[in-house]
Amino acid sequence: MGSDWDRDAELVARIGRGDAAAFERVYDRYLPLVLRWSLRETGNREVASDLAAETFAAALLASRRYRPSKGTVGTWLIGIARNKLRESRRAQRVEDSARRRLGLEPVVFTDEDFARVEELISLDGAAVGVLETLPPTLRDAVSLRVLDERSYEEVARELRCSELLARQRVSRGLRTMRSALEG
Amino acid sequence: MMSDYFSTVRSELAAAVEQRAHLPWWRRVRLAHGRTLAVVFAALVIASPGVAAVSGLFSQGQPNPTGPVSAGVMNGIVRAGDSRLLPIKVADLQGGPPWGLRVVSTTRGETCVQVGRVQDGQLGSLGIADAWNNDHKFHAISPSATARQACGATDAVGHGFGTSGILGASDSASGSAYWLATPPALSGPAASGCKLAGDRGGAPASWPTCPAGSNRIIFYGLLGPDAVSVTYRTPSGGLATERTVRGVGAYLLVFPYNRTTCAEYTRGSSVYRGCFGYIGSTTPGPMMPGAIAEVRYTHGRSCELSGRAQPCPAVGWVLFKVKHVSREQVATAVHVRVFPAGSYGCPNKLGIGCQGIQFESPSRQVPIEWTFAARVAVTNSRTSYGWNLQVPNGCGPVGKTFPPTFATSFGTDSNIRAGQTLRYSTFLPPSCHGTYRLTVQFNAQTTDEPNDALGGGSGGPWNPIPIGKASFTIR
Repeated sequence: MGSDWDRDAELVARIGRGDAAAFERVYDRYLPLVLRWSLRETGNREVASDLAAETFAAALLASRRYRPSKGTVGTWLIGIARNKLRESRRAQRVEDSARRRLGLEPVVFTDEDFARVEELISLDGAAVGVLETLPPTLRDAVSLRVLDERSYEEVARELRCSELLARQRVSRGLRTMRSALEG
Repeated sequence: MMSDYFSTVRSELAAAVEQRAHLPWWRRVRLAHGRTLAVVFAALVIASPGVAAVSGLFSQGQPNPTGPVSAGVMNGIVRAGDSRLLPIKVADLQGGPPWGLRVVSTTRGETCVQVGRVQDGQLGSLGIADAWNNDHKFHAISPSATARQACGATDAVGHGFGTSGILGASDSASGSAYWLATPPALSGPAASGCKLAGDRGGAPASWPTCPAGSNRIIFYGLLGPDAVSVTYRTPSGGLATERTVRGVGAYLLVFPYNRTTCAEYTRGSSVYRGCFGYIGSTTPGPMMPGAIAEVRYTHGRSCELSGRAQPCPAVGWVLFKVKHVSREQVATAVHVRVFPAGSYGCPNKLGIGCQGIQFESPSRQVPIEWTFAARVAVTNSRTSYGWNLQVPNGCGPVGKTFPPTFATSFGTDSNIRAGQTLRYSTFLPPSCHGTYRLTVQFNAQTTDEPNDALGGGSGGPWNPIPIGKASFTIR
């Protein structure tokens, strides 16, 4: 069993004990994976985002039942997502029972979020490695926008360039990363 | 920090983790099982954002009907366990279940590829764009629902080779453009669909015109076990590269259907005209319209299409051990019988095969029937019996003296037992007098290279061996 596996299993155990920071780390680490899977299965960014949110809500509720001996955290989450998708298809609407149980209000999905999906699905462990190989101007732009979750306005201010140029750099950086990952 | 959908979900869920930590254990358990009255109540007032975005979700509908299939005819049937949904998924431009491929191996030695939408590990079509009466459901396609043209060449160990395209495909993965890739349903809701504005003859006239933006150009295929990637032309004129599926070399490209893409992806083809229907060949080549610019294989090998006169080779093809058949082994007597003009038409009441020949006025034709005993068995699609009819000098051409559908040659398309008596017939115009010469052939694969025939075929090239001759006169 590798150290990442141990660490993530421990994080899930801590979620069960009410550790919000542990949840945030699992969410940050696995959102790209769950979102990418959901998008591949549904072909719709809004539905995929909705499904990912429900998956993490269900994972939160089921965190005490996670057993590392039965698979990695990633496998566990995709299993939850698959079940949620199956239920959603039966009901012809995205399943939201886990979020309702937690009393969460629905979150509005905006046009900005469509672009955010593309950014997030570009992120995973391999992507971070590729990020380091980008030219500094592109790497900084992608890091600020995607890893630090800064707005384009903030990215532009940080890099001392126009917002338009900041957007172009992020876009080029992500495209280069995708080519490197798929090539 | 920006506050987008994902960061909001993150903070709300994190807050929920903390709140739960302060609940008594029995309350946490009840929350996890979702049985509290308060939660049920909440369900009535909270509308999920997913309600407005159901386009990606399709409930299960009835499966596509499968036409009559037989283990020994045409493609044969799918061998048990030889149907595999490939790990390749391509998002559609308008969302919904992704596009995918399934490979099947059949009892007649064919390797066939099916294309459609993928949901819950199944390949199927959707009830949209006037298909399935717009029921907005997912309809699974049977692995046996494969037309002949969807089957490419197959080598000695079962590697499939074939490149296909569907120009003007409906995003329902159903409809007239698929009819050469997947046998059409003849009745019921599965037979519904839409047609392209320029479709003349491919779809029933009663079908409505496809909704704007609902058509696609799809290229897919198997490039063999050694293929690593395909580089293809994008609609904007650039180049992009996709990895192929390991072991089979599968690729799948889905583009919008419009003037630009039609012009781009039919450019340079001297064979195909227009931008509609199914196209196929064994390997990518200059005659075949498509998007592929280059195929890369293991060990640094590649095939670039630009400026190439010949199709790409079938890299990775495993040679057959060809069993050569001598003329003596297959020689047989051929008996011909000439019936009076108009004694039967097609379909007929005599139980004589019509071979798909249709005549406008069969009553005026002269039926010809011939029989012979097959000495060598046919057990796969790489071998067949056939015939060739030489008409008298001065007769013809087809379409004038002979009906437009008249064929001067034909090959069998089913398994045949050694010793089985075969009986075939055709119809000749009474006005074409003279001596006809009939040659019956055994079509055996005589080399072990893949053929390059457009459309189906499992091997080749074939070398017809004449096994019997007969002549007759119409006065």
